[in-house]
Amino acid sequence: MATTTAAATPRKELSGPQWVARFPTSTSLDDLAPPFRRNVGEFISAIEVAGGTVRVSATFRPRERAYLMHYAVAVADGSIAPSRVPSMAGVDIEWDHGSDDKSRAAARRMAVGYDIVYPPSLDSRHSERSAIDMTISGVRNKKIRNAAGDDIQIKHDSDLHRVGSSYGVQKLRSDPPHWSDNGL
Amino acid sequence: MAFRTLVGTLALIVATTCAVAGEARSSAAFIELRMDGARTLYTTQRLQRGAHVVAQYPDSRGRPLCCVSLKVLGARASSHRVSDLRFERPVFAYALPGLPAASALPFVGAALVGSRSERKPAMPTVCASSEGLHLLQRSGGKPGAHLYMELGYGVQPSCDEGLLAQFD
Repeated sequence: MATTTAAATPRKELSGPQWVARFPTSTSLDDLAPPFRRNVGEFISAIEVAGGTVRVSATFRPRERAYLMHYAVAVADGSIAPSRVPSMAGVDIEWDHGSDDKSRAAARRMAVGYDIVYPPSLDSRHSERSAIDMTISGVRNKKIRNAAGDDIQIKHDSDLHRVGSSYGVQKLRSDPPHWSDNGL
Repeated sequence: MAFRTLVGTLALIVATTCAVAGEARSSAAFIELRMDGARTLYTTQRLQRGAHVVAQYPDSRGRPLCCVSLKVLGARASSHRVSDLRFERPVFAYALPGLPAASALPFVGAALVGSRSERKPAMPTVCASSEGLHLLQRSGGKPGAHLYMELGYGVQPSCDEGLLAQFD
């Protein structure tokens, strides 16, 4: 990413809370990349056929959103000068309001709008369209058909993880709702 | 001499028992600070207004320092999903006294509810996985409480995988 200079281009829009609603997180399976999209669909269908319930909370998270969240915090807490924030194609935001106080206050309002309580990273499997956050319930002691056609009794979480894996949907054990194409 | 040794041993046992009991009475909790200055406590304990909390707070770079003593202001609707991964108990959110917005950094640290030691209590560990935060507390040297806060966005992981595996 190229860094901006202090001179703002006229078409850029100043930072502020109006940016928060832009580049929203998707909950649609259609926004996942193939073949992960199909794999997830088949896994969810198998769960639902078995009588389980799936609630999807996130699929695709645009890189633009991660960029805005990351630098909103960095500008607000003073760890980067607003004039030094790298630009991002497709995000015509001006972080520099002409004074540090105004720039940091605007960035702070963004961070509050995003509900940030811990510094966000720039990278995520969600930005690659290769991850899904979902809460699965009602499957304990039920049989779910795996990709090979075998009915697997779900006694433990690890049983469900193995079924997911058979469809190419891998569990990241450290984050309960998170599944991806490679387990990261 | 033998009597003195016996008394000394008994005193040590009583002191140790009291310390363990005190530790057992305190319950691990998350404390969250938003950039608007709002502070929230997440705990599996049902608390009343005025309940005593000992909590970490951030230094100027967001690193945890120990500790401040706070009192619960009241119940709060939770905006983050915090779950009890180990015992699957319900988790409650409580408002704590806020900070001036201009000085508030995003921060999540550890807190103890019902702790009697205010100076340097043994605080639970808080660390990050890819999309959430873990609060890990040992009890009697064994894995005890394990709370998880789902953030809804990616963060830089900091958890030791071996430590997390112990709490699985």
